[in-house]
Amino acid sequence: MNVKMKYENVYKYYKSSKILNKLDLEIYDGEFLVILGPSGTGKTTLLRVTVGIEDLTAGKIIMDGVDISKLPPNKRNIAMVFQNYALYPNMTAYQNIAFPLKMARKPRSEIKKKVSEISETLKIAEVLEKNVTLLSGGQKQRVALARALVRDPKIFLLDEPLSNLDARVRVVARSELKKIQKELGHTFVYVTHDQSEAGSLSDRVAILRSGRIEQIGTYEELLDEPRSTWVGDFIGDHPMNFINGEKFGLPKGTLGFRDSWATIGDGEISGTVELCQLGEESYHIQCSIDSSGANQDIDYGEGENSSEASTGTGNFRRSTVGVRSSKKYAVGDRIRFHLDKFNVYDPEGKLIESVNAK
Amino acid sequence: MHIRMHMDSEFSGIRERRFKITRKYLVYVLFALPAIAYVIGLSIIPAITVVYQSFLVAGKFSLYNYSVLPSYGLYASIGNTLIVSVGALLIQLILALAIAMVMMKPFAGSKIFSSIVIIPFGISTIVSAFIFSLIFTNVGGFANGVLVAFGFKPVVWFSSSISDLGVVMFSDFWKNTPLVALILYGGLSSVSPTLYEAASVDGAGAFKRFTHITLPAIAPLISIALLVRGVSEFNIFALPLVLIGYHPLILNTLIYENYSTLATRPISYAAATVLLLIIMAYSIFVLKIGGAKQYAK
Amino acid sequence: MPNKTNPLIYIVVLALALLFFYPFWVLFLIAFEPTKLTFGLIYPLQFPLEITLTNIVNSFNQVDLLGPLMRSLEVAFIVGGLALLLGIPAGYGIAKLTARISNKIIAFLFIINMMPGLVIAIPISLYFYSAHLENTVLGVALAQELVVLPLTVFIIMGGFRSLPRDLENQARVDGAPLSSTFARVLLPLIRVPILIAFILSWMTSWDEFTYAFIVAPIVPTDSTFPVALYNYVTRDLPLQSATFALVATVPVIVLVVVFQKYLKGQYLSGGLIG
Repeated sequence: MNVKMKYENVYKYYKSSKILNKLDLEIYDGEFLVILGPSGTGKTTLLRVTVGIEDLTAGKIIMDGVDISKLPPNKRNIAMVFQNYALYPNMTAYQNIAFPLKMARKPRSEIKKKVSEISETLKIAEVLEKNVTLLSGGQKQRVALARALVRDPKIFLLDEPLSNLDARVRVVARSELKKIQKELGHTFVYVTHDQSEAGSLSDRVAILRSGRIEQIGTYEELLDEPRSTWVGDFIGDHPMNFINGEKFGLPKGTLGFRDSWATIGDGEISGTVELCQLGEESYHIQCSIDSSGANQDIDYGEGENSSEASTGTGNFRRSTVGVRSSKKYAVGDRIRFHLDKFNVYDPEGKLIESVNAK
Repeated sequence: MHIRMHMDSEFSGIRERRFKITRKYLVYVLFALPAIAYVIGLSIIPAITVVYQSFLVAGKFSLYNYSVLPSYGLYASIGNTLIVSVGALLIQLILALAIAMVMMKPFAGSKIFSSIVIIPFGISTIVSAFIFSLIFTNVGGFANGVLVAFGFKPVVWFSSSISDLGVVMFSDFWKNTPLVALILYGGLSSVSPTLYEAASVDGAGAFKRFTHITLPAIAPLISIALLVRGVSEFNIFALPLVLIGYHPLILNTLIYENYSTLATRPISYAAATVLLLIIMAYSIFVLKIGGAKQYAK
Repeated sequence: MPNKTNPLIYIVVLALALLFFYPFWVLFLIAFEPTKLTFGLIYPLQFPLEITLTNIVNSFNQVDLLGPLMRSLEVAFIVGGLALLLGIPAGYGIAKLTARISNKIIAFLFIINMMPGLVIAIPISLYFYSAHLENTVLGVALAQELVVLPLTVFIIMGGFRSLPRDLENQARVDGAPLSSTFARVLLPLIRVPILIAFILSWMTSWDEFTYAFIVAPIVPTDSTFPVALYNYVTRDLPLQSATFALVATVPVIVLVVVFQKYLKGQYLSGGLIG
C-alpha cells in the first residue's frame, strides 16, 4: 500500500489545552479510513489542520511526499465535507457544486459536464437548479458530497457527514457513500463517533484518544484484539467485560472478554445466590465463571437475551459483565459459563496476549 | 543527550507556532485598523486639542479661560442645558413607552400607525426645528390656531426663559421619540405573553402587571435609552439655535457663540471642556446605575 | 386581555398618531396653501381651503434649492460609500476576534461616538482649514463619517457573526482566495446588513447639521441642504424654507417607509444592547 498522507509528531494546542498531542498516522492511498473516538478527542481538529483552516502548533503533514502543513487551504487540494455541509445559501445546488471548479478557473463547458456527471452519480440531477436552502437533509448532504467530489482532489475529509440525517436515510446514505468511494477509488478520511458507521464503512479504523492515535487496524482487529483495556471498553456494541485476572491463575492484570466469547453450558445452573432487580427487564444474576480451571462468582445482568448493567462486588475491574444467553433465568439462579477466547492485559491496561481457548 | 536535543527542537517549534497564532489575530486587527484609526484621529485627537487649548493663554498654561467663563453665562447655560435635557428625556420616555405598549397590541391600522410614529426618525433636525418654529410662533402660529379653534386663549410661547426652554424640550420629541420607542418595543416583545397570562390568572390587575412584569423587563432598555438619548440631548444644537437663538443660552449655543468670534475662541474651548466633562459624568452615572450589566455584555 | 382589542386603545392610538403627524401637516399647509391663508392670518386654519403650487414654483425660482440638495446628495453618497469601505473590513476583522476583544473595540467606538459633536467639530474644522478641506464636499463628508462609522461597523460585524463559521472555511477549502471568498460568498450573504448600514449612514449624513455647519459654514450655495435651510430660516424666508424642507424630506420618508422593518432598536442603539 502506498502511503498517501503522513502525520509526523503533530501537535495542536489551543490556549493551554492539548487537542492533538504528538499524533502520528499514515493514511494509505485509496483506503476508507474512519477516525473514531469519543467527542472532544480532537477528531474534527485533526481534519481542520489537515485541510489547513487551522494551523498546526508543531509537526508535519506530508501528502504525496510534500510537506503541506504550511500551505493555505486553497493551495492544498484537499476536499472536505463539513458536518453541517456548509453549503453556500446564496447559491443553487448547481452553483454550489460548480464553485470549486470556478475557483480553479476551469472552462464553462468542462464545469457543466463535470457537474452533470457527478449529479447523475449522486442522483441529484433534478434538484440542481433549486436553491440549496430548499433541499431536504439527504439532498443537502449529497450536494455537499458532490461539491467535494467534483474537483478531483487528492484526498477527501468528511466530518460526521451523516449525523444530521434521520436514521433511515442515514443507513441508505452510508452504503451509497461506501459504494461511491470504491467506484471512484478515492482516499476517504471519515470522522465519526458512531461505531456502526465505523464498522460498515471502514477499510481501517483509527481510534483517537486524547489527541493521539490509540490503535489503528480493521474494525474486526480492534474488536478482537484491543491493544488496551480503554479500546476494549470503547469499541464494540457492548463494552468488553473485564475481570481480575489473578483469580484465574494469571499474572497480575486483567482478563477481558466479549459477551459473545462466553458460552453457557446446559444444565450448569446450580445453587442460589441473592439477586437484585434493576428494572422491569434487567436484573443481575450472580454466576460462576469457568476458565483456566478457576471458578469465580461474578455479577451478571440480564436484559432479554443479552445483558448489561449491574453493580459490582469488588472482585471485578468493571462492574458490568455481560454474557449472551438464549435462556431466561430466574432470580436466585446460579449459572456457569465457559470462555472460548479472552485477552490478558497488564495492570496498566496494555495487551499482553490474546488467548484462544478453543 | 539525544533525547534532550529532540525535546528542545520540538518545543522551539511549538513556540514559533504560538507566535503565529497571535499573528493570525493581528491580521484581523489590521482589517479593523483603518476604521479605528479614523475614529481616533478625528475624535480623540480633536477632543484632546480642545481640552489642551482651553488651558492656554498666549501660549502659556493658565486657568484664565475658566475663571472668566461664569461671566459669559456658564452657570445659567449649564442649568438650562440640564432643564432641557431632563425635560426632553422625560417627554420622550413617556411618549415612547405609550407607543411601544400600543404597538404590542393588535388593532386595526397598526401598520399605518407604526409608520406614522417612526417616519420622524428620518427627519432632519433642522427641518423639525423649522416646522416647530412655525407651530410655536408668538403671535399666531399653528399651536395657537388650534387653541383658538377650541375656544382657548392663545399663548405667548416665547415669554420667559422657562417657556422658551419648554418649547425646545417639547419640540425635540418629534425626531427623537421613535428611536426610544423602537428600543423599548424591542424590550417589550422579548417578554413572553404567557408571563402576562400567568399573572392575570394569579389575579394581578393591569397596573400590577405593568409594575411587576413590564417595567422590570424594560428597565435595562430604559437605561440604554437614557444613555443613548441623554448624551445626544446634551448635544442638541440646531433646535435651540433655530427656536430660541442665543437667549436663553444653553452650553452648545454658548460654545458656538464664542467660537464664531476669534477673540473669544479660547472661552469656547473652556466651555466645550465643561460640556465634555458633564457628558462623561452623565455616561458613567447611567452606566453605574442601570446599564452596567448590559453594557458589560 | 392580550387577544381582545380594548376600544380605549384607539383613543391613545389616535392621539399619538395626530401628535406625530401634525408637524408634517403644518409643513404641508405652509407649502401648499396660499400665503393669505397661512401667514396672512393671525391664527392659521388647520384645514386647507385652497391648494396652490405657486409657493413651490416661486421658491425654486427665487433661491438655489438644487445646488445644496445636489451637494447633500454627493456628501451622503460619499459618507455611505466610505462607511462601507472602512466598515466592511473592520466589521469582518472584529467579528473574527474573540468576543472579549471585539466587544471592547465596539464599546470603544461607541464611547467615541458620545463625544459632543460641537466639541469635536470645532478643531476638525481648523484641521480641515489648513488642509484646504473647508467648504468642500469631501470635508463635510469626512467629518460626518465620524458619526456613522461606529454604527456601520457594529451592524456589519453583526452580519458577519451571523454567518456559519464553516462557510468561509469551506470557500477556502474549495480553492477560493480571500478576494473571491468575500466577493462570491461572504458579501452576498450579508447584503441586508450592508444595505441597512448604507441607508442609515446616507440618512444620517443627509440630515446632519452640526458638522456641516461648522465645516462648511453659511455660504448657502456651498453647503448641504440643512445648512442652507438654516440660512433661509434665519433670513426669515419661510416659504422658501418650507419648500426646501419638503423637497428634502420626501426621500427620507420614502426610505424610512421602505426600510421600516429593518429599523430595530438593537440596531440603532448600537452595541449597547445585548
